[in-house]
This record gives sequence, C-alpha cells and structure tokens, in this order.
Amino acid sequence: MIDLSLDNASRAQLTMLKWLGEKYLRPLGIEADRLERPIPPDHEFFLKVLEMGLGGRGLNDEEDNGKKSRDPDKPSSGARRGVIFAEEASYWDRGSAVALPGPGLGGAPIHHMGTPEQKERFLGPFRQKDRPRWGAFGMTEAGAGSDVAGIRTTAVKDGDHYVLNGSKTFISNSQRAEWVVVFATVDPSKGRDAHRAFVVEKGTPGFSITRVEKKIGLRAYETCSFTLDNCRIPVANLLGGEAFYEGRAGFKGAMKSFDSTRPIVAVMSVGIARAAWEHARDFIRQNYVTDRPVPRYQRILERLALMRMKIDHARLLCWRAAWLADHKKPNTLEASIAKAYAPPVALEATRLGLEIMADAGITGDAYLDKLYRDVKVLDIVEGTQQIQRIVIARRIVDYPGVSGEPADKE
Amino acid sequence: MIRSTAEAFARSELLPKVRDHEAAQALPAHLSKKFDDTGLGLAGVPETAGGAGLGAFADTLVYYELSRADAGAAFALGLSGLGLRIFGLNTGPVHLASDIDQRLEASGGFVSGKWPLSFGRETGRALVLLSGSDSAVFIETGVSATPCRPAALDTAQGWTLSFDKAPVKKTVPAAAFQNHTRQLAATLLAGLSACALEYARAYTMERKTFGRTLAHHQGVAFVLAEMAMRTEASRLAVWRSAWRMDSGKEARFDTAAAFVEAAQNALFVCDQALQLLGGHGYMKDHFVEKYFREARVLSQLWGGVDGALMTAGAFSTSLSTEIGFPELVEGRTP
Repeated sequence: MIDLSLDNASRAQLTMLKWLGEKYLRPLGIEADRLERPIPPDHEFFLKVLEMGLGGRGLNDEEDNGKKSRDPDKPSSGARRGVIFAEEASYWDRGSAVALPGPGLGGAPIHHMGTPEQKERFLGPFRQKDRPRWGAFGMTEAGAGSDVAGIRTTAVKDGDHYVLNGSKTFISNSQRAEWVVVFATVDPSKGRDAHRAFVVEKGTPGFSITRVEKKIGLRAYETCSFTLDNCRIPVANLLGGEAFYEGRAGFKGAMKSFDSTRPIVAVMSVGIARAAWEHARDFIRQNYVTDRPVPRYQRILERLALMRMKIDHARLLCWRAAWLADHKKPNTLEASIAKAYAPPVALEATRLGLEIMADAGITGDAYLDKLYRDVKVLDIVEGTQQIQRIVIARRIVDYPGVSGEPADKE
Repeated sequence: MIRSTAEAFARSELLPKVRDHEAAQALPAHLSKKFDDTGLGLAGVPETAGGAGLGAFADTLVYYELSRADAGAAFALGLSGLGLRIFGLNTGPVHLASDIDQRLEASGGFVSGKWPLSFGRETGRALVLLSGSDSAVFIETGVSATPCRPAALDTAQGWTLSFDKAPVKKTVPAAAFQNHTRQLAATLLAGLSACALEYARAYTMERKTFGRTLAHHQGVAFVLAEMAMRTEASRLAVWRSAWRMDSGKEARFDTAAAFVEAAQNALFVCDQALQLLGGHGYMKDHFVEKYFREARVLSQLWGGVDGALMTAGAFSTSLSTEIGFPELVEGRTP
C-alpha cells in the first residue's frame, strides 16, 4: 500500500489553492465564458498568484520546488502532487487553471530533454515574482494533430543558428509566453527521427501570432495560431543539444513528456467531473425530497452513485500513472489508460448533472452548461482517446506489428 | 510476499486442474488442506478469530491471484472463511443470501421460503440479509440444502435452500455482510477480467488472418486496449475498497463501487475474450467460455449490480467531494 498523503508544505499549498479557486479561479472562469475572452495578462489576479507562490514554477511542477535536498533514494512526489493540484485547480475552473502563470505544458519537454544550463535559463526565471510569466508548448499544426510525426515546420542549420519556417495552431498561452517549445523537422522525408525541439523566445523576429481562436469553452486562457517566418534560433536553444538527437531522441523526448502530461490532463477532467457531480448533488439536495415516493428519485440516486464511482475510479487511474512516474517506473501504458478513460467519464458526469435537473437543466443553467462545453476538449488534447488506444495496443500487443511477422520478438 | 505465494499456489495447484475440479464440482480435500497450510486462507482473518489479522487488503491480493487462475476454485476457497470474516467468530462455512426482492418471508423471528442458489460447503447454517433490513440474520436450524448445478463456478458447489420456519439465532450488521460479500465477488471479477484479457491476448498474438497477426488488425487491437483499460480500473477499484475497509471507516459505498466497476468490466471483458476467439471461443476446449459464464454468475450474486447501486444510492447525496487522502496504489500490474 502506498501512502498518498501530502507533506505539510503541499497541504498548505492545497489550502491556498482552494482559497484561490473559490475567490478567483471559478468567478474569473465564469466571467471569461460570459465575455468570451481570456483573462488579460495584466489582470491583478496573476500578481496575486505569484505573491502566494502558486504560479511560479507552475502547478504542474516536475521537481520538488527546485529543492536539491531531497533524498535521492526516496521516490519523488512531484508527479503525485502534480495530479492532486491539477485536479483541485480544474475543479474550481480548468480554463482559469490553464491561464495561471508558469511554464505550462512547455515545462515537461525542457525538464525531460533540456541540458542543466537550459533548464536553469528557461525555467529559472519562473522563480521570480516581479511579473507573471508563461511558457507554451508548440507541437500541433493545422495538418498534424494526432499524427504528430507529420509536422511540417522546418529547421535548417545555418552556422550557429537554426532557421525555422512553418506554422503552429491551437497553442495555449502562446501570445503571452516568454518562450514556446517548438517542434520542427530537419528533414521532412525522415519522419520522427528528424524531429527537433527548439525554445523560441518572445520577440524573436519572424515569430508572429496570426489568430486567437474562438472556443466553445475554456475561454479563460488564450489559444492561438502563430507563424515562424525565417526565425533564427541560436543552437543554444536546441533542447538537449545536437548530440541528444542521435536515434529518435527528439520524438521520444516529446512522447516522454506526454507520459507526464497525460495523467495531468486526464486528472483535470476528473476535477471538472467532480464539480459537475457536486452541482448535481446539491441540486438534488435543494430541490428534491428524496424520501418521497417519487419513482424517479431512486433512479436519480443510483445514477448519481454510479457516476461518483466512475469519477473515483478514473482518479485512481491517473494517480497510478503518477505514482509510477514518481518511482521512476515506465508508465506509458498507464498514462494512456488514464487519458483514455477519464475524459469520457467527465463528459458523462456533466451530462448526467444536466439530465438530473431535467427541464431545469436546459433553461440555461450557465454553470453546468459551461462545464459541459469545457470538458469536451479534454478528450481531444494530449492525444485523443483513439490515439491512446493505439498507444495501449502498441504496449500490450506490439501493434501494428509487421505483416506476417511474429509480433513479440523482443 | 503474500501475493507471490498466492500466485505460486494458483499456478501450480489450481491451473493444471481447472476442468477436473469443475467436473468434480468440488475441490479435493487435500487441496483445501494444502491451501490452509500456506496460511493464505487466514491472512485477512482477525487475530481474535485465529487469523493473521492482515485485513481485507491481504485477502484481496490472495483471491485476486487465485481468480487469475481459476475463479471457481478461488470462490470455493474464499467462501470457506467468509462467515468468519463477517462474524469474527468461527462458525464454519455458511450459506449467504442477500434478498433484495422479498422472496423470503420473515416474521416473528422466523424465516421461510425458497432460495434459488447458494455456494460453498454445506453445513446447514445460513446468513441472510433480508430486503430493506439493516442487519443480516444468522440461522442454524431449519435450513435444508439440495445440490444444484449452477450456471458456472461448479467447483464452489451450488445448492438450493429451503427455509422452513427457520428460527433466527442472532443478527449481524448489514454493513459487515455487504462489505465482505461484495469485496470478495469484486475481487474475483477483477481477477477474472485479468485472466480473460491474458487468454485473448495470447490467442490473438498467435493466430493469423488476412496475412497478419490477429491482434494487429485495428478492430481487434482497440478491443484489447479497451479490455486492458477496464481490467486496470477494476483492479484499482478493488484495491481501494479493501483499503477503505481496513481503514475502519464506512466502506459500503466503496465496496459497492468496486463491485459495480468489476462486474460491468468483467461482463464486457469476458464477452469480448470469447468473441476474439471466434468459433473456438464457444467451445469447451478453451477457457474463455468458462470466463464468460463465470462473469455472469459472479455479477449476479448477493444482490448483484442492482443491489450494489441501491446501497450506494442511499449514500450518494451525503458523500463529500473533497479528494480523500491517503489512497493507495500498489505494485506493477501483473
């Protein structure tokens, strides 16, 4: 049995996060939804977050707050704390949570692939509290979403620089980011082996935001498209350095960062599911006298119970993937299982909430309707549930194998 | 340690004789004794009742491993000490019935009626959870049992019971009855999913169709992926409800949750395992037909999914939504 209890510092952070959630995250999320625009980067809320020490290195913290004093023989708790904080923040509001300052999804590839010098250079500034900072992760392109290997953005070596050309789409926080980790190819004919990860810093000539997306939900943070037009990136910004890319390290690095971000994204849907479930439960408490012999009440209570079971079990799958990561065990299979399992459960939870409210659910109860719109994208980002099934099948039966060849040759 | 001992016992003693035990409709006495000698049977039994006092989690590990080899034998072994776990007293094996449909009549301290199916060794004792009651009644006389051929799990021995104005000897809180019965059934269902998945995986990796390994057709690979997901969810759910039982807190919602999760998943996984073997799956030469039947029977025991949802529903509006700590996750998936 593993004790998942939090140390005192983390408990205190969780308490702060609850306060922040109630006072800011949820109201700001609802407001952004109504106004259909992201929380502006100069909003006082972001400074407040920094003061509290919450948005600095991000909620998705990979290291134990940068502390080097941790006993190296003891397992880390970073991934487990990551899933707990991510769930709690998303319970209050997932849109506002993603808008929080910090390296965001860009932190993972720097952490997994970067040299010590790069980690310090790009992640170090997030310790400062003078102004909010964001990082971003740029993989997706208009023609390459699930099929990551199909990215078209090119990188051509030119002296001590790489010249990047192409465009990226659906990149969170990229307009306000200090840097974006951009994946590009040095040879489009070589597929994944030619992938490289670059840190493209704010203000680099040729980097320009072309569009801010209009989304059906999660409006509190910005999602943008940008182009790279002859962007000159110093070799020092190639994550891991040249030697790192022998073999398929670039692509593998990206995939490895997915192993740590997938449980986080999965557990975010658990947070939304929790909020929806609670909303439905409270609606029942306030509006239905369940010991009256109304036939539908028994059914409602059982559906509420069944939904709660699924939410609890989805969370367990996320925690297991995080636990494995903390113990330095491979977790690709478990991370994908969590990611495939949790978002559909969450979508069902929001739908159940609306159904329990019956006619009252479709008169525009803004909050549950918002959650219903918010949660849907979590079944798409960080690998759709279909992609996760491919990953799972690859792990359990070596899918797709080789035609006519025995598949389990190790 | 417990888990590896259970796994070794299951592989060496149960797996080679699955069909023999099923045909004999019983485990041979020497095997039950051998199991007792390993100490596994008493792992979770309270020390006051002569066990090792390791709790529900230890039991769960044991019966999960046994079920991965043979759910029928695991059920037979698990039932022998179930009365002990519920009572904490050594009453020997008891018939267990959970009446959610008011099929039995209870009045004035007596129980009458017929009960269609109970498993385990016959001792003339019964523990019955009556419909809508918050306690289970213990009966020592007035129960007659007739052997019956169950739809699956023959190894655990099936009986039809007749209660003829059987006097209630004592009562036991419903919670103990519900937690222990659901936890055992859920554990066996989770183990059953794991072995059905493994069986289908091995088969689809061997067989070739249309020039490629069967498992490498996307339609098959995705089904296997779904089976793996659900198997993992079941396992974690029963781990967690066992932990909850051991924590001494109210566990009825959690054991009901584990049962529903494990039952629904096993019904899916075992059906798909049979499906993936095609015509062969339908034949007794393979085990998948057995898994298919066992999932059906285990998921309908002791009130089944409906009973579990009724129990859970009664708690649902009073549950907290805070994240509960500490929780558990343990070891690598076998």
